[in-house]
Formats: sequence, structure tokens, C-alpha cells
Amino acid sequence: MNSIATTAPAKMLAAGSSQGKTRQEDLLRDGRGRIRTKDPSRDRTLHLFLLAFVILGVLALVGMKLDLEQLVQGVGEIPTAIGKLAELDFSQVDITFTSLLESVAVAILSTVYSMLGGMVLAVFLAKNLTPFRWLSTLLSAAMTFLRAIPSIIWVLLVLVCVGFGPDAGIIGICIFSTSFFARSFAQCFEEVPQETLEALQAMGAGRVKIFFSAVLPSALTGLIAWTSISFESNFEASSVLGTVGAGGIGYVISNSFGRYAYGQAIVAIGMVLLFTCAMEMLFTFVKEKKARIG
Amino acid sequence: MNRHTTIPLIPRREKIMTLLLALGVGLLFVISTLSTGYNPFDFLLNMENFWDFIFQDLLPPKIADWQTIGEGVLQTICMAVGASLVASVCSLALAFLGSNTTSPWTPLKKIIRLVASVQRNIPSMIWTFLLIMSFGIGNLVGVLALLITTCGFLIRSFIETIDEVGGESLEAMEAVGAGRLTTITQVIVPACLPGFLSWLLYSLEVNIRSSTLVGAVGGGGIGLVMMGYIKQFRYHSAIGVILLIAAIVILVDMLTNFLRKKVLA
Repeated sequence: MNSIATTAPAKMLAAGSSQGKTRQEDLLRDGRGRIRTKDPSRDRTLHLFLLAFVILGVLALVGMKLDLEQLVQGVGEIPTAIGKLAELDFSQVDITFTSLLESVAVAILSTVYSMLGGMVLAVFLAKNLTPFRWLSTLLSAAMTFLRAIPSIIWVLLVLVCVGFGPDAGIIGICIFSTSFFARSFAQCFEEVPQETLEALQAMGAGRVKIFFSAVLPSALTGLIAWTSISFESNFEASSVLGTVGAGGIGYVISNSFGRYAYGQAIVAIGMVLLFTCAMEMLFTFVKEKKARIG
Repeated sequence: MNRHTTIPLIPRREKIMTLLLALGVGLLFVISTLSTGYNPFDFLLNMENFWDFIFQDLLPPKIADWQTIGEGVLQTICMAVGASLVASVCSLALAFLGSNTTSPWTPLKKIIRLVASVQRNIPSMIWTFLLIMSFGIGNLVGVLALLITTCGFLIRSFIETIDEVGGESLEAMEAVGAGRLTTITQVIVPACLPGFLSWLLYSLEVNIRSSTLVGAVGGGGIGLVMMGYIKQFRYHSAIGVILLIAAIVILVDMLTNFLRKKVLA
């Protein structure tokens, strides 16, 4: 609230201070001389944007020609579907559990490898650390491209050339995740104050020394946060890559649906849900603890 | 100088925590390497296979059928935007019922948080499978799957944004005798609007990506077209579609970044 009432006009003031006092008074008080609580110019853009979004969204919903009959019919079918799912079937639970572990392992390995790769790339990508400016620009373009293709599609492509197995999943997720790490780590590195780097340079420290003794420690919190985010999304990818033909728990799920063994499918889905929820709780706990210490 | 009196650059406690963390990750890494038998050098040593695949099977890209692909792209974008709109409206209402500061009833708050957590922790592709059971294949399933996960994600983010609104302004409103509704419309909504919008833009980005994936398992749109090409081993056409998807994602990212700067400055 405070940000609206005071800081936003204050920011505008700072920006427009050169334009004289009348402009400042304009921003502080409205036409009737009352103190403003809102920033009209910002609000106008916000409302315009919201309006455009709503219009576009409605157009999209209408333009898609959604089958309303299908919708109504489907809603009627939901109780039957839930009934089918509710017949829990634990007969395959050991295989399901092994494939969950495989999915977790794929997520861990792809996160670790891409973290290492991303760290190296980030050094060349970060504008304050890179030895050559053009290299940073080039890398940045390449990373944008790699990141634009979802990891499942990468897995699909790698699957074709490596063949069935965890390898395809790991490599495919790595391609996406490395570029993600590179981008976000570079951002963390760029936040390290330039003065620190200059001071170390003036002391005669080399690039490697500067990186390990100044940049890495001060960016560590950010790096850990990004790693946990990436691990969550990597697990999501590795848990569904079975549905497009690779291994892991996604294969069990899509296979059970294919065999109409809904009871087994829901057990597998429940396992995924439990694991992701546990992950989320763990990371939230660590974050809160970290915030208390820091 | 006695070297034992030097002040450590990094607090000792933090050092130990980091070390423990690194050890834990290392242990997990070793276990998963052993269980999957993955050797990164296998792939790096067999790179020529990979390059062969890329330069002979994939490149050059080919756009086989402009009309099908164009329709697919339009479908996918519509799915993403439509799902974002409906999800943002639903989750705005639910977020007010689920936030610590505005919730009228504590059990309701807990229920909303639980449902949102289930919604976002099941990946959208799995939701697609579940929805196909009752709705059949088609873009309706895609929209619903996106809607469910986006709702789950937006509810949590919106709740966090609402909870961040300072206690002082709420107290001030309470002191002048404002009711719950007045507080929401006069204090919380204006203060949260930039936060809401930034999450909304983010969800739009995510939806553009996942709508292609949801399509691949039966949700319609460009994903279905791409999956069809891959299953028919028409890799040139498939990579054409994939590059198109990449172009769309990059364009949408640029647009949302621009809007973020413009709207949230």
C-alpha cells in the first residue's frame, strides 16, 4: 500500500525533478488540491493493459470454437471417471516406485550436470565477468534459443538419436536446464557490485581468484534458490517424459491409462504428487530458515 | 599478526551449512549415477552420431502444410491466452478467500491452499490424461489442463502477494472503520495490482510453453501436429514445427518483458 501512496509519486518526482516545481505539485496534489493516493499515469497503462488482456482472452476463447456440448457432457462424466479412479490398485506398486526413483534420479543428474555446465557458461555470459563482450552476446542469443524449446521436446529429439532409456531424458533435460542455469546464474553474478571486482583487480587478483573468492560466495544464496527452482521443474519434466515415449514414472502412468488400469494410474499420480509436495515443503522450509538466519 | 585472529570472510555457520549441502547433493548424485548407470562421456564420445542425426535427419527444416500448422499455432496461442484469462479471474477470487489477511473463514483458507497445491503439483500433461477420461480428446482438454495448473500456481502467487501488503495500511483502514470489502477494493487491490500483473505475465509465458506439450498428448494445437510428424518419422517437418514453436516462445517472452518494463516501471 505504501508503495502506491508514497513511493510511486516520489519516484516520478525524482524522474521529473528537472521539470520544475509546478510538475512536482501536479503529481502530489490533484486538480482540487487534495493529496494524491494514486499515480494516474501508471494506473492508466495498467488499466489499458488489463483491458487489452481481457479482450484478447475473450477473443481467444471464442475463436477456439470450444465444443460446449463436449464440455457439458464431460462434466457429467466426471463422477464416473472419479469412480473408476477410486478403485485403487496397488498390485504394481513396486514397479511404480522403482520408476519414480528413476524419475528422481534423472532429475537429480540433469540438475547437477546442467548446474555445472550452466555455471561455466554463466561466467562467459555475465557482462561483468566475460573476457570478450561479443562472446557474451553470442552466448546469450544461443541460450535464448535453447530455452525457448521446452525440455520435453528436447527429450523427444534426443530420444530419436540415443534410444530408449534414462540417457535420453537426462541429456534432453540438460539442454534446456543448462541454458536456464546459465541465464539465471549470469544474472546473479551481474548483481555482484562492480566495486568489489575493481577492488580485487586493483589488488592484482586474477580472474579465477576473483570468481572463487568474491563472486561465487556473494551470489551463493541466489544460486541455491535457482537450483531448487530448476530441480522442481526438472522433476516435473522427468516425471512426464514417459508419456512421450521415454522412461520413468510417466511411462507407468501413460501405460496404465492405455490399459484402462485407472486404479494403477492414480496410485502412480499420487506418488508424483506426494513427492512434489514434499519437495515444495522442504524448499519453503529451507527458504524460511535461511531468511531467519540471514 | 597472529593469523588466528583474522575475521573469517564467510561466517563459519554459513560455511558449514554450504558444505553440508554440497555433501548431500554429492551423495544424491552418486546414488543416482549408480542407479541409472548414466555416463556422460558415452554421449560426448558418440557425438558424431548426434551430429549426423542433426544435419541429415533434422536439417534443413521444412514447413510441410502451412494451413494445418497455421491453425495449430493459432489454437495453441488461443489455448494459452484463454486459459490464462479464466485462470486469473478464478484465482483472484479464490486468493482473496485463501489469504491470511482477507479470508473470512480459516478452514476455507486451508482447503483452498490444499486444492491449489494439488492442482499445481500434478504436471499439466498428467492432468490432460485425467481429463481425457471424461472429456475425450480435443482442445477443450488442453484448455482445461492448462487452466487447472495455472489456477494452482496463480492462487499461491496471488495469496503471497496479498499477504505481503503491509499490516500498517490494513490497521489504518481498520482504525477508520472500513469493512472487509472496502479494505480489499481500496487498499489491497491497488497495492497488489502490479504484483498480480507480473505473475499473470509469467503464467502467460509458462502457458505458451506448456500448451504445446499438452497438445502433444491429446490436447490439440501445434503440439499434436508436431507429435504426429515425429511418430511418422517426418523429422524435417517436425523440426520446422519445433523451430516455429521456439520463435513463438521467444516472441512472447520479448512481448511480456516489454510489457513488464512498460506497465510495472
